[in-house]
Amino acid sequence: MLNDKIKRRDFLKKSSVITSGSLLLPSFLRAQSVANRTGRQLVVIQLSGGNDGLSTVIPFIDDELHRARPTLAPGKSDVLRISDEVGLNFSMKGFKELFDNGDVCILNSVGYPKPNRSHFRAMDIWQSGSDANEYWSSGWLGRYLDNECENPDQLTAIEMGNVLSLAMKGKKLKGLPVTNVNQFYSSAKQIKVSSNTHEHEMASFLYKTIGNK
Amino acid sequence: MRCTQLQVQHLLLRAGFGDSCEKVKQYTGSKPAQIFESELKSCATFREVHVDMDFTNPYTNNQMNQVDRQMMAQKGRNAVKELNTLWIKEMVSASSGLREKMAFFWHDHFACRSQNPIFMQGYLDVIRGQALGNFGDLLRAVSKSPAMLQYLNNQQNKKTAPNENFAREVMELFTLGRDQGYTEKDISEAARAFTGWGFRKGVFMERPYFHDDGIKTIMGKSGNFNGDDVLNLLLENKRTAKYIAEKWVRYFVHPSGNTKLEIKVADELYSTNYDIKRGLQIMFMSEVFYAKKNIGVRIKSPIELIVSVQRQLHVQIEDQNSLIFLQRMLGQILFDPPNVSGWPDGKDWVDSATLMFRMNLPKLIFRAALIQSELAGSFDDNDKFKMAGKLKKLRSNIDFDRLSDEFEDLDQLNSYLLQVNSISKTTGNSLIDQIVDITSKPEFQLC
Repeated sequence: MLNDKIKRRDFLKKSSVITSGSLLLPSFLRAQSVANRTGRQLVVIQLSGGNDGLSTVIPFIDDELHRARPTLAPGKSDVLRISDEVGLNFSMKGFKELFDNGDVCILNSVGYPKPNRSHFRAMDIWQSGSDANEYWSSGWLGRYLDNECENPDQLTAIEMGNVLSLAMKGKKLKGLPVTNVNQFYSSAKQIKVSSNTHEHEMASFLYKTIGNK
Repeated sequence: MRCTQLQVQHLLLRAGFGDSCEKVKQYTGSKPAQIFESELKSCATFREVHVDMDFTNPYTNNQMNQVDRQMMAQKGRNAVKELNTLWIKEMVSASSGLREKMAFFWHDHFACRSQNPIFMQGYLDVIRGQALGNFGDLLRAVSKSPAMLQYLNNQQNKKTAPNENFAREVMELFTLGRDQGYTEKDISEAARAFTGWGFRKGVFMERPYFHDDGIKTIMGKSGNFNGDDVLNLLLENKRTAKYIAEKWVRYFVHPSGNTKLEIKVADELYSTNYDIKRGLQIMFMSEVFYAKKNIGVRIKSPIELIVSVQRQLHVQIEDQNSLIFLQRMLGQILFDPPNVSGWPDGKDWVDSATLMFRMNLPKLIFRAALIQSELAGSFDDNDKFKMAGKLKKLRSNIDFDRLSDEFEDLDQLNSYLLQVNSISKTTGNSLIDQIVDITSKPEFQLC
């Protein structure tokens, strides 16, 4: 996803160069530093799409699995064992290595009652963390931003992609989607906006978006 | 009612991709019905958008060796790109934008992608040809197009191993709408009815050997249904008309919808057996469509932005790669929707990054056009090469004479280009400077 030549750190460094200008820039670019003091960052990789959990983390000992998948379910010797009951898919050797080193933790069999099988509704439920019969407009990471990352002048979350995921939307704060760091940087340098209030609701939304507020 | 200039622009932007100042002037003072009729008339006949290609599907042809396969796949991707830009150019140059706008809406509604240019060509022919026809015919034709059969895996839907993908999406996204009166059981039963639908050599075919001939029960009705029967059941269900009407009103009128108008449009669609034109007529002739609260509340989608700038200001971006590049930067590439539910809409189009790119876009286009016109008089090939490189070879052409004929003063320019008054003053000494200034304002993003 992050295929740009500019590494994220370089980008953040460069952004401080333009803070002294008179242009109205997204407020986070004016903030002194984006990285927090410890330098620790949380990276969430969200795989949007279907994954067959039962052939990823395989309960190979379970008779039910073999009953349900008489030909598909792998035998004991066809998995990368991580316990007496569970093994990883044979193609996950790198993953297994990380697991053995203690760098990976697996939360298995996570789900919710009455799963919705619509591809789109199901993703909303996962990303918002709602029940199957509830419709929430904020996501689990967005609510973390709301509750734990109060300084609104500092950008706290970036999403690599075109559109912000529901997971990253809070009620007050939200992440910023960026596809191309170079493009973002060069566009930011050139925009001049004098004010950011407008009586027309959508126009006002646009002015606020430029200011990233 | 008779349309003011603002209302004419509103209609032409929503039911098309905006239009020339000349056309706006010509329509101002007319009734909505007259304008819509005139637009319908001028898109009754339409040009082909066609890519000539010598293409064999490398993914299914086992006789091809690795090298040929890769070359053919590359050729296919290039042809899809070419089809993409040819369609954009038609959106820009068609005398009325109505048909192309509707085809674009249907592309979003029946979202589909394929690396196979012949499939995409067939799909495009369907959504353009039926854009203003009958929704039932459109639904049937799209459902049987190899592009969609492949995209939603109906080629793999067989009696012994039903694949529910198409059955699920046809109900959730194409007809009834999410969670609207169908159950998981209805989906799996409908999937059985679609078993055997597939294609061979790019042509739809029913494969009896793979078809499940048993009795299916779908939404309370039982019978030995096939795929066409299911589509008919879905069309007979009034929820389909309601779903389409809701989607139209949210897309063409106001993102929050309008219940009264939705009911009127749904009734018209249903009682005319899904005549798209008649449904649209109700929507675009209703007084509420022209109400102030509905003007300028829509953020132009990337395609709408790229096309309308060109249509309104007599400028054409010629370079194919640039046109693809712009779509990618703005987040919407024709024939490449993110998934089968189409593109996100409204506020999701802009974040700080894309909005800034959008605001820089006019400058890029017009600067390229200025240089292009200067270079036309230059005989130094070296010159041309250097300048083109700097501008990523955008190659935009502009009709200066037409532009300067159409515009007299700044007020006129502002009112023609902005559906929402700007809070900043327009500056610039030359016409082009002023145009760039106006089109770079945040308000220009709205239509």
